[in-house]
Amino acid sequence: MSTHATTETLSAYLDRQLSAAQTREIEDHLADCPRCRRQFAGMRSVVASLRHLERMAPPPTLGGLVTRRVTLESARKGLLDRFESGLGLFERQSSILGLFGLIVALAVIMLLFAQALERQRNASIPVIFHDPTAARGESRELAGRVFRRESGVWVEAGLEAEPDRAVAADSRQWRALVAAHPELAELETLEEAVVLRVEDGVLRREALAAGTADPRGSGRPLGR
Amino acid sequence: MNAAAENPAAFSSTPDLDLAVRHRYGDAAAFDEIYRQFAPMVYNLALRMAGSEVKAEDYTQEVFLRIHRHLGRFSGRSSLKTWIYRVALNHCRSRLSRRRYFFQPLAEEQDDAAGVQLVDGGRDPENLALARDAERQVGHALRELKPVFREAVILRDLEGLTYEEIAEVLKVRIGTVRSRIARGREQLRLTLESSS
Repeated sequence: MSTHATTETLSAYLDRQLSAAQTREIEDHLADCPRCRRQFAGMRSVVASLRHLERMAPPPTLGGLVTRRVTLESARKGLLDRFESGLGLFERQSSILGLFGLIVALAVIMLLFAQALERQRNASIPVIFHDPTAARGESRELAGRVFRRESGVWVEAGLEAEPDRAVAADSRQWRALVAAHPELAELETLEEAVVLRVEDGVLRREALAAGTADPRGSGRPLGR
Repeated sequence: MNAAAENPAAFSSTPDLDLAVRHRYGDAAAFDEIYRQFAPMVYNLALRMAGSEVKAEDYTQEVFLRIHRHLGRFSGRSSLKTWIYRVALNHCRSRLSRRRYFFQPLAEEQDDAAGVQLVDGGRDPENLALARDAERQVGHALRELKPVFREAVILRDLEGLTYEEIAEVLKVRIGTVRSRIARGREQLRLTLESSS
């Protein structure tokens, strides 16, 4: 060995970790190299000191303390497990409740949607009723909707400008309606109060009873 | 009823695994046995790592709590001894790094009980005092080492583990173990030579 031994080699030699050849080589080197010999002696002295340090026994009370902490932790864990299992039951129950709630919510939404659709459908039906006895400008409530008597027919209050919702007599929409449904011309000569509804392309006529009849009730088709 | 149901340890093939399996099946005597067998080892490791008896007692309690929690997972791939050393060492590292981060340790905090007593009733009082002084210096120099070197030196020269066992505990290669032990010893030598 021409150069000095490495610290790692000296340490491994001390622990008998070298092969037979390496051991022979380092022993030859140590015999010739005072510096490495000194380093090795110092290292061996350190290791000897370390190995002579007394191993201390744990305090006798330590075992009891460990047992107490382990017992406490086991009890706490037991409580926690019970709490978690309770929580699991609650979670299972809450998932069932959640599903039920979702179904109810969906049902409510569908109901509201159906009602909205129905309102929309009804609102889109022109409702006209004829009452030759009513005076011009008179108002009447019919199925929750307020109508005002115009020349010849009732027009839903507030919707005069919306031809799909109500039709005023002598208006362009009225004339278009009469053109599409010639039977409406009967209104000109009709003596009784009637309600006319256009539903599914069929104009229906109903008798108006004391101004409170529901114009959406079934009636016999007019004309066609 | 089969043999395994009658005796849970029938599954296991080594004494270490027997203890772990018995613990898993709720046999309190298994944990007591582990404590009796390994408490001195854990306590001394904690003492050397922390340099204080008070901390060593705390760490030992905490290490055994960890062992109690996780022993059920011990699979027997390593020996129970190296597994417990690993648990203990990781815990000491964690506690010491937390302390270093949040509280700068004071020199007076460290008592000199760790590694200062020599078992030698045959020496006269003067020689004994000199020996104790020398060992106090060794203990102090050990605490001054960088943690990676200190761990390797403690496991090798104080706990007497083989290189293979140290590699298993530290989860490093044998070459790394060899290097850390050598550098730790050399650093100790230089420190002690400069102080004498």
